[in-house]
Amino acid sequence: MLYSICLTSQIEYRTHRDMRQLEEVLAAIAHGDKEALQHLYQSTRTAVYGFALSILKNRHDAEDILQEVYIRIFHSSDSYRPEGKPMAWIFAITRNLALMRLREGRRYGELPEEAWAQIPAKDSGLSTEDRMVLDAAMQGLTDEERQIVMLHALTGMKHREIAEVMELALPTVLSKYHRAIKKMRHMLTEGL
Amino acid sequence: MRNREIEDRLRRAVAQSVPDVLEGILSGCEQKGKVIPMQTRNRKVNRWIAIASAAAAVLVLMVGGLYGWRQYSLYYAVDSIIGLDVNPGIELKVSETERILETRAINDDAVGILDNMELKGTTLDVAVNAIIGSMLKNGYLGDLSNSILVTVENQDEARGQELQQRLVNEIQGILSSNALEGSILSQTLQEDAELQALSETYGISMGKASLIQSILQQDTLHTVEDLVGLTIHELNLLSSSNGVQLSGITASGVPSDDAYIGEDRALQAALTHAGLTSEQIQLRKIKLDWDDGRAEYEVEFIAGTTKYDYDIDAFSGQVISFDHEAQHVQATPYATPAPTSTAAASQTAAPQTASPTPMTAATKAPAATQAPAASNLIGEEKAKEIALAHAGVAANSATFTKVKLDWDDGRQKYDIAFYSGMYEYELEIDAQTGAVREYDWDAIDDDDRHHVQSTPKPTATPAANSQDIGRDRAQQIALGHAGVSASQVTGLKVERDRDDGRQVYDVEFDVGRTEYSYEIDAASGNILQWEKDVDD
Repeated sequence: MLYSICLTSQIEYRTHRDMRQLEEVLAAIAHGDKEALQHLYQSTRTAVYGFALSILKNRHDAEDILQEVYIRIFHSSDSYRPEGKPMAWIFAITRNLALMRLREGRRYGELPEEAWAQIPAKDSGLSTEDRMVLDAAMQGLTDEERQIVMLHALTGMKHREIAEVMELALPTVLSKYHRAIKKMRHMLTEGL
Repeated sequence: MRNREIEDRLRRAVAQSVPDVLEGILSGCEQKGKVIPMQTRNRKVNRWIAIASAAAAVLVLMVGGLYGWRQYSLYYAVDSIIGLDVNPGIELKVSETERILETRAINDDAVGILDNMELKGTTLDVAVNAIIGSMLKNGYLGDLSNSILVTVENQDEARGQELQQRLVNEIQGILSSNALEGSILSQTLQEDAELQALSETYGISMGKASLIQSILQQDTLHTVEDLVGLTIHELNLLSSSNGVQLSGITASGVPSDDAYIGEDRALQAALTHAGLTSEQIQLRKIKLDWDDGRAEYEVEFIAGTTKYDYDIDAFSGQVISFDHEAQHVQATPYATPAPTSTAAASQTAAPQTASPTPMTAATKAPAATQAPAASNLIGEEKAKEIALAHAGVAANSATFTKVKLDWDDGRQKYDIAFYSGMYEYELEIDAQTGAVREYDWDAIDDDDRHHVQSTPKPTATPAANSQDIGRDRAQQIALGHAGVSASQVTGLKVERDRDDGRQVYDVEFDVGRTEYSYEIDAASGNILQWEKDVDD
């Protein structure tokens, strides 16, 4: 299969070739192919994690959801209908699982809001500047702004596609995106 | 910090902090069909055991699976996708052993054709026979509509072409046995992102998308939107009537035009309406075309100093619309298309002579005698100047989208349209006196200083004649829209990209602390989207 040759490479979310290939991978996963699942994970985990993190604002929960998303994909990939939008499907799963986790959290009254700040900087190898940008996104934006910026930055998806994933109107996505970027720029120049 | 830099940093930060949970995923997948509750907090305890077992599982799958994988590929993996388009569009996914793995109806007509057919598992030739038979039976193929498009998608070009030829022969045989001379278009396609996008955007097959793309390579008068609603037979007729040479598509047989009145009767209908005979005119064009899905003959001829344009309903012979236009000595490029050399000569020689043809009362354009001498006109530049002054807009901040000399109520006028900042302006200026006859302006849709258009609006370029305006033109359009010159901007970047099946140019630049980004249609030069951000 084609996917074996690019097992660890990041996919280009906007190329149809890669989207088609992802659909082949999903078809193989539907036949129980774990190698295909591994490929899918390697090539999409950053985007899935980033999106989960942008919803949950908590890296432990995002980590759990990251794992749960691929298990869910493995068990339900046969329900995927190939329409050229495998990433939209994967993000929909991510969003649903993350929102479910949020609801559970609220029910049990847990989740310190700023759990994100606990990220061990020394382990991550993040540069100070990169970390500041991530902190700005996590702390200074509204939930929707953060999700939009994260999807845009991590996947290169067009605002139109993000609007579909987030079930929002295109102008809303556009204005929120620009407001978010502006806020982040302000935070980065003026300090958080 | 620029948007892109912020996003790059964000992407890097997430990429470096994403945890590796593969082991947990693989162990969570052990039992397919049952979701295993995650023991997330205890994962680290079993880390090495899990890694070892996961690695072992992968190894077993890889080694033990080789034989099984080949068997799987032969019988269950998709080798080719066969498209059969008439108007019903059907896609067949076929294994290497040419068994049908999956059938897909592209449109509602195809749903009817495939109704009650269980083709999965049958051989390709049986399926093709059944489908073509059903199309004949249901009247999609017949004497009035005899075109079919056969598309083979296969990554192995040679194998694809061999299959294409076999299918064409097979289908020709089926049609012949039903006493039908078919016109078969056929092609082999490989992976093509642009086509894929086109097919997804418009809900058509890859084959039809390719046919449309092939037509549009030579036919610049139509857009994708004009053609997607037509059947394969109509597209086949359109390209043959317009002399389009379809690249990459093999054509056999002649598309039947028996359903239409034919060119001779269309011309006769126009002549009768104009009160002329064929001896009095010089025929410039007659072709079959489609407008809003309706078939019509476009007839264009000249008699004396008048140009006649007719659209004749291709089924009924009724005159749908007509225009009689007087030709002038110094017709501007906007006023009329360049006439043929003979016609131009005769008009130049006697510009003021009355039309020898009787004009009907319903004629939209005035007779040639009414035409004022071109020297009486104020000229385009003056008209533009008047328009800008009337709107109170500085010349360097306006982008003209239309400057056209036209007729209205027996007088000549300039139709002028331009935009500046967030407003669009339209004016009609009397071509002789310079008086503003109509004035209208409107705000361009604005959302937080971001301009988004659901449908393309015209920009400074009139409809481009080529398929690609080029980088320089795209840059020029964007700079013109922003009202700046190349020397005033920094960080200028022009990239060709694809969006929603359309080739676009992404143009970005900075003017001081303001970032501009444009998305420009590569074919027409239309600004599809633009954004302006002030770094404050």
